[in-house]
Amino acid sequence: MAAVSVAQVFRRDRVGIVSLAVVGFFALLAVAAPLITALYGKNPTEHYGQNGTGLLSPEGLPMLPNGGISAEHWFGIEPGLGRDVLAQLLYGIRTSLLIAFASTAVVAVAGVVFGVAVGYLGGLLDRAFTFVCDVLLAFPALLLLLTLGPVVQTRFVGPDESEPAWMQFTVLILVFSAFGWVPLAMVLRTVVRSLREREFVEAARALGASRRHIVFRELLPNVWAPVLVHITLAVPAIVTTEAALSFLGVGINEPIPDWGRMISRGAEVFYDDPTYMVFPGASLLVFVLAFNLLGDAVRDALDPHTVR
Amino acid sequence: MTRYLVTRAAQAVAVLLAITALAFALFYAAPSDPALIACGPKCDTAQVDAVRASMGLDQPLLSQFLDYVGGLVTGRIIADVDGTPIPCPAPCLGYSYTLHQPVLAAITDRLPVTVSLAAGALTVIVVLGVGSGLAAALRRGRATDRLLSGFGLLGASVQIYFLGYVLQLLLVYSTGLFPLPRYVPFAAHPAQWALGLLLPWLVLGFVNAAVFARLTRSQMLETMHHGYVRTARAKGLGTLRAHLKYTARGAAGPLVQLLGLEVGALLGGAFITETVFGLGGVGKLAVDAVNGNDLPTVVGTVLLAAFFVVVSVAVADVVVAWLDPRVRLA
Amino acid sequence: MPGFTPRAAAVPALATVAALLLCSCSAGAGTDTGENSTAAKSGRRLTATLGTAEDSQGPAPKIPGAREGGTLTIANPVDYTHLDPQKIYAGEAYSTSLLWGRQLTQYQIVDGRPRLVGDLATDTGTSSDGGRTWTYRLKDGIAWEDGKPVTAQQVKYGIERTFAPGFEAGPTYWPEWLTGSRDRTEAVKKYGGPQQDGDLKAIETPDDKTIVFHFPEPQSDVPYMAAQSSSSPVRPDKDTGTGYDVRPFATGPYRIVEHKQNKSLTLERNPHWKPATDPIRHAYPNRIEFAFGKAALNTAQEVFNGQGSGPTTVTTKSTLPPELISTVERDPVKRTLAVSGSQGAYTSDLYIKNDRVTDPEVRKAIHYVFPRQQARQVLGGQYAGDFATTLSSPAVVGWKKYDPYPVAPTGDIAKAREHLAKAETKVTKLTYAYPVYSPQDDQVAQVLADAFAKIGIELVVKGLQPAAFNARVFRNDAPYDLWLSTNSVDWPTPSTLLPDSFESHLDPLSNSIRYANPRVDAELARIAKIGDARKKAAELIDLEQTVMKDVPVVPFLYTSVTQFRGKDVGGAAIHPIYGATAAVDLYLKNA
Repeated sequence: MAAVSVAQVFRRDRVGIVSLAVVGFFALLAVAAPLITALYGKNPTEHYGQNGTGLLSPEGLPMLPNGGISAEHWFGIEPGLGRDVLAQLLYGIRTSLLIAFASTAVVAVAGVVFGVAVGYLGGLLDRAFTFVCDVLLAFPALLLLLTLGPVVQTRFVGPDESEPAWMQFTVLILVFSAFGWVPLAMVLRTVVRSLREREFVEAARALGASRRHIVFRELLPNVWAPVLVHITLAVPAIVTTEAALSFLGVGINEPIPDWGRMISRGAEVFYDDPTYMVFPGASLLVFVLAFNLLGDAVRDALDPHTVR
Repeated sequence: MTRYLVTRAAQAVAVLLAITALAFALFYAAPSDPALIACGPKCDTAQVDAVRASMGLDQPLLSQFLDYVGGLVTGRIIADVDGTPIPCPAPCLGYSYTLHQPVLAAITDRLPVTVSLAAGALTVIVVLGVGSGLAAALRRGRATDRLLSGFGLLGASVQIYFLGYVLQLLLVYSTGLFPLPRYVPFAAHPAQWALGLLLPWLVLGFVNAAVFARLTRSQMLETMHHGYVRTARAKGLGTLRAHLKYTARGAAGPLVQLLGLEVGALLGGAFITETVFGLGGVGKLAVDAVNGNDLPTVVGTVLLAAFFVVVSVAVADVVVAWLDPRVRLA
Repeated sequence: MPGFTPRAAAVPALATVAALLLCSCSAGAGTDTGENSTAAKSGRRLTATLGTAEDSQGPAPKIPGAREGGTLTIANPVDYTHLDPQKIYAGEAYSTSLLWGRQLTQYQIVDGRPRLVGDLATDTGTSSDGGRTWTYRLKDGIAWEDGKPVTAQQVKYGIERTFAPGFEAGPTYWPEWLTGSRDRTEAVKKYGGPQQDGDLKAIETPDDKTIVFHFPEPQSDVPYMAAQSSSSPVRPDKDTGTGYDVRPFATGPYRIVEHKQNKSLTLERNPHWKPATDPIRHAYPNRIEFAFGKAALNTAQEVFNGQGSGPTTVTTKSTLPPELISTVERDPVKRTLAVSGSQGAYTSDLYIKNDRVTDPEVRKAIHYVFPRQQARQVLGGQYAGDFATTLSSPAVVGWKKYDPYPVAPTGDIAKAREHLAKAETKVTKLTYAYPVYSPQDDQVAQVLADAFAKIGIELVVKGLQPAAFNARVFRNDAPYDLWLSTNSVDWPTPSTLLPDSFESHLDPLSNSIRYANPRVDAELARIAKIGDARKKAAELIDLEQTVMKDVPVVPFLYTSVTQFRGKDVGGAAIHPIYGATAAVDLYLKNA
């Protein structure tokens, strides 16, 4: 199926278009977060509630109803420190998306390299690959992530230094990638295996084409569809896992805004200030839903056999 | 079939061994010192060293690992903080100096909670997922299909740690429509057992059903167009009966495999669900152990989680192989 | 292609999201200043007086309205780390283990006032030889759970155990005092416990009822140490080694009938306990069942909503979850179920590592910039405690209020800058370590970083796992300038404060701030020789005031604690010394 017709099919899919628009909107918000907050006149790290008066009670809860929503703070303020919720949310998208996109990029590269190589070469490599996949799939990744933070802290960060932001991001990205490439590689291995036996590859081989030629010219162009579907669905999965980590108390550290941490704190003050949990919770829900719908649309557009 | 079984079992054991090694290497690289924790906050260096030696933590990592694997198979003797021997029969998962309990005992104490949670959730997932997938396939393209798939997607996109809290507030604490989430042993009071876990089951079911619904739907649609189903219908077999008799069977393979993964995930990865609903199962044990640097328990729970995944996937593979002899040759 | 897909149903999905958003409306915290808050008030901290032999006679003064009978549930999130009396070393465990264990002396609580009285002993002890010799006589009629009498030799055996390997977790005072050693490691070289070295000469038992301690140096605080769990008798034939840590043999009003580790602990009446011998313990419920492993929030919900066994449930370990503070504040009925009080002699302080921040002017700047109110707000306002100006808690004998450098709770940036300017070397960066128990700890770090930034200091914050905190921070080469932590003296006199953490020769586990002042060392050495408890306390408090002029530590809070009890549980109050709901006073209203 030519790329043109894929785009055409996709364009006819209204839900797909809408979800793409939502995803694009989130991406735009992430990119433009500094600009938007500047126009809005707030930043995500200032403790408005603590530095101003009349915003937080002595116990640290917003004094105004609905989580302190006001003309000043459109989405209210955070209990405890009194940071601006809207600014935190906007910057939180950056955190989520940076990790998700970077991990997905690594996953795509690693998945394609391993999947295609193993599928094409087969033999002993294939057995080793299956074993590694089995191990990684059975390993409780969340527990590993819980433990890895302190290990990295002690091994790679000076005891008198804060863990730099880039390192926190890198660790998360690497771990997500380490587990994320497996399903993609497994799919590609199967695809390549069947492609290998098809006529056009056989023909190329018979004509004396080099391995390189076969892999790059004959195989790779035929695997991009499953790769695209996989990475569209990988982004929301990584966003939610990252949020889950922050929920459990590991993940990106203060003061970098993070949705998972907001939800976790929201769960604590839920009975007194439900508003604070609803904003990050609902944002995460809409974002993930849009991405899942987009993934579906991409899958449908790419797969002519989809039965509806 | 026997040969297949043996190969599959050998694979599973190899994977588990690799995971044990991995867990061991990773968690013993952690910054904290179990000896220090066992000794208490006021221990000085000399005392901690003494405790470390009696716990066997001064041995090289490899010999500790071999001891551990040996203990899994034959059991072993573990030294307490003061050097008192503690017998740990096979399969020995080590001894937790934080809980003052063999890790296996700590796990088996909490396993009923996790198993109950998984069993109920699985029932909800299968009923909800397969049911709505079937319904959606049969009513393909109609409003029912739309609605069911939509809600499935919503479930797949919502987070347990968000939905769980929201529903607890709305349904338990504000309105009292649902009982407080808690664990009552099934043997003690079956009705309260079910009631106490109802909300977690429904939430887990809702969140996980979408994958099943989607797979059921697509499998059904695919097999519905196969020749043998059409033939059966042409021969006058009623639509529903034809579907159930031929379609469902043809579609079962991938579903069984997905089910295997799900069982493993539910039994081995209930960290968040148990945290959200305050249930003291194995997932909570694992998270607490990580936070409290209780390394033997961490390694034990990792191994258990992996064990569940490996075994349930292997069982699913065997079932699929039994359903479809072609698989065995692959 | 059909004009729709199943995904069109995203519409109901989004509708649900919208519904969630709508129902999230909530009332604000309002402008209630918290005047009528359930949080503990200041000035309620009481020092323990010494009781007489007459006070030491049983039975314990009856609690008005208390009734006997029924089964009480104590729901705690985790099981006890130790039940072995010589390994217990925590306020709550001290308090709760009174249910089954007895010590030489103990605190009697009447109307919330603590008084140290004889428990197994007839009085709080008599000293001679300038405090080098202490003599105790056991009361008549005190028996183990099997009816055999408690003897002086068994008390001695219990104390001997504190020297043995495996007992590192407990307090180190007996080994240090009895051998005249600086620390436990030195002490156990002289005597290694009853299994290894047999009889300890420093403790004499001339007869079954008399026990005489001989100390190389004068010791004034023996009556208080005699109230620690370490001073419980152990019967050699019942000493099951590490098994004793799971199920100790009872002398108190209850005996342990079953202990399923990390699940439950069941207590029944000890038929051989005689109330007439015991001035401290009430034993109202017939049976006490501990349930371990349930999250604090779930227990609290059951208790406040009266669901399940909630009405007869109490907790001695969980504090009121932050989730519920406002709900409880707003509801007058629920408010009565909160059990609040000062947390014994606990204080929360901002510690400064003095060998890293050597300039007193910089430490003064830290004192002025410290945003106490903002930090406390994050921790729950008044629920966290009252602002402190002194190093020792008001619950300590001889305490005097002093405030060398008064400052507004929000901090004084101008004053801080002034002192910083006077510093000899310019400070632009400080490191702050803290144990991460909850996200609030991270927030406090942000509060501090924010404030320090205002005086031009970059605060590098380092959250550490609680289990690893001491090991990483309390060492000579640890690169942390500041840390916040909550601690208590081991008993309510100043004797374990300055001498055990400000003496320059102590290791970093004790003198974690690396305070070293030869003049203070000399003073401490002089005061250590004082055998009279009151005089010693007064001198130590005076010395403390001098020490604090250089701001080695910044006092933050006299901490408070709020727990909760079911509506049918009576007698619940925070133990003024141990800082947790006192288990021995509880009764069931409907029994």
